Amino acid sequence: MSDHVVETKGVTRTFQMGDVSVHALRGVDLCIQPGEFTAVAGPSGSGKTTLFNLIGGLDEPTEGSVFVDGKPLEGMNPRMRARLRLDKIGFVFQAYNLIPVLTAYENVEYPLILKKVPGDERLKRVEALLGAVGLEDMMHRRPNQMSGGQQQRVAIARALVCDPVMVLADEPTANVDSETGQALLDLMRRLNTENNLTFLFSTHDPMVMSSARRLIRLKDGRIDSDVRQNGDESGAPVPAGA
Amino acid sequence: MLLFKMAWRNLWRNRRRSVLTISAIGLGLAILITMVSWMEGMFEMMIEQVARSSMGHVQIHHSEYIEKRSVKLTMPAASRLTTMLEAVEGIEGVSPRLLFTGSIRSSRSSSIHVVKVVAVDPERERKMSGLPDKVVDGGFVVPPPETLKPDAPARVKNRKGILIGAKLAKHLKAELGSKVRLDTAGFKSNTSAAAFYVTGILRAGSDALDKSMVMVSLKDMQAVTGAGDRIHEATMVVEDVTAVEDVVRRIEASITGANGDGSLGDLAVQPWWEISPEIKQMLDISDAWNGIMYLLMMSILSAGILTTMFMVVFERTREFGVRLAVGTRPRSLFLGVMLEAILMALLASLVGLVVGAISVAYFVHVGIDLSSLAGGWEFAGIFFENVYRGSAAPKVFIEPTLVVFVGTILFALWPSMKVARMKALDAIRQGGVTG
Repeated sequence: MSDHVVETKGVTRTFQMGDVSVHALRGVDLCIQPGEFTAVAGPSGSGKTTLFNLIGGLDEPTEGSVFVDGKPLEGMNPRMRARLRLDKIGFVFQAYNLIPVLTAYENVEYPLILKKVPGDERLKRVEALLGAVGLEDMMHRRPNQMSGGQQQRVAIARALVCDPVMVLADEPTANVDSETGQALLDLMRRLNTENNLTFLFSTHDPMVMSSARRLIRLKDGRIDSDVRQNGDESGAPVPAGA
Repeated sequence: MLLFKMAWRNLWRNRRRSVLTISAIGLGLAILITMVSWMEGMFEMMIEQVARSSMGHVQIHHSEYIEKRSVKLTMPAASRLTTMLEAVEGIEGVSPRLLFTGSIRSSRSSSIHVVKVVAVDPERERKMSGLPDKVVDGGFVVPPPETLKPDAPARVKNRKGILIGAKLAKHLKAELGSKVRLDTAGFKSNTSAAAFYVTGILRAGSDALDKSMVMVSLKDMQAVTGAGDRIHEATMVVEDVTAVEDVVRRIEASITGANGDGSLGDLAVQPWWEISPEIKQMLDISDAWNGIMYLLMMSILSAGILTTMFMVVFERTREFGVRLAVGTRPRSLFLGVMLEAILMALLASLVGLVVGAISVAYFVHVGIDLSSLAGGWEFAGIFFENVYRGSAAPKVFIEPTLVVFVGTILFALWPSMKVARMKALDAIRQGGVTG
């Protein structure tokens, strides 16, 4: 197994908008190690979401390579990428993106069903996770019966239920108030600390940036800065291929 | 199970739209069932009328009779042939007949009328023909009552009865007991003539029957014309109208087996559609009409299904993207949308079947009486009733339901495939994810 949960080598992503080429990413080299709690910050259009999409296997780089848990995404077909996401990556979206017709319990259970995990095992894991995110009393509520913060906690539980190597959280606190946002951050930080689970955020929320132990700033599709903070002892910055 | 649960809940996510779509498809199906029931009812009525008219389901003649219509082209050994035919499996009744074109006149009128003379075995004819029910006065090909008196003199005992139509009776100024003279071709000499006494008056509502046909006893006519045991036609009604072809094969086999010495003559067996191709053609056109109705229904259905299912795809694009992002296989999304369409089709079929069954029940039991508009109608020499009843045959329900059910699923394939081809990122972007 690789030392890196994520590694990007010279990743470039260019979008063709009519006659104009838009360079969303310009040669990004990045390594994320197990247990990191890293925020990727930058203004709109800096390339955060594009980088996340590439790491999540939702998009393909124009140039360069992306490795997740040591495996190159290059050459994987959509089915293999879907399987990789199911096995290795937990997604938390800005707008929660729960399945509206499923209850909190069923939303969390959903990836386990995709993985064909037996029913009793699913029950154990879903109940434990919903308990861990403080929603044991709301298991049977549907998303429209829950607040934004509660929905995001369900989304976090869903992201964690398959024991991923990493959680990709795209602006997870953008749609909640600051108090709820702080509570969500505390929850993710706790999960990071207790389970050594890797979190990678995209954000422009100062609160998330200040909570991260590593802060990567993107500007115009390039890494502008990459610093360790909040007592991170692994040294900074970490170059690609380290 | 999860797919089914999601499909069911998704179906009711936009309750009003789903109810409207299901109702629209269901109502369309009910209308289709009613129309098919109506058409099938007409087919059944026509085939039944064909059988209960003089035509029957199957006829046997001398092989050249249909083409030449010559009185001389008869089948010998009628009694043997009739008995043999009655033993064939699937035949409900056999009526041996002599057929002539003749002229009739009465002592009360100077006019002479050309008529079709049908000589029948009354008992056998009664079993398979609907005409006895149309007798309004007297009996169906019965002897004059005075011949039945034990002390009747021989000249009275030899009197022969005749059934004539009500219009003919009016023209002849004849009534029950009136004497008429019938001239026809003969076998021993070129012509034959005999006096008959009116013993029955028929009112079928058709000129062909009421004005231009008379019926007499086969035995009497065989004696009058010197036909002996000869007949022109053996008409048969089968037990199952859908098995006419099988019965024809069995008849042919029996004739081949019994006619080794040629004593039965040179015979030709014909099903009703060969005898009356006009009616067969009309039924074929009606079948084509059913096809057109199905096509029309499919076009209406396609609009409803495609609109609904594409709305589903459009509204849930982001959700599909997220599901793909968390690792759902495209095939699973495809199946989910298809399952939703299948559930919709099932519910619509249920609605359509229930409403359609009520409608069909009405048309089967009550029917529609158009006799106030016209007094029956005639086609290809066959008189048809004016009370139309629907058919409740399984086909009436099965075919339209299958068309609607399969159609719904087929039309859902397009939007479902669109979902299966979605790329997670594009779908999420279309849904409006920022970053």
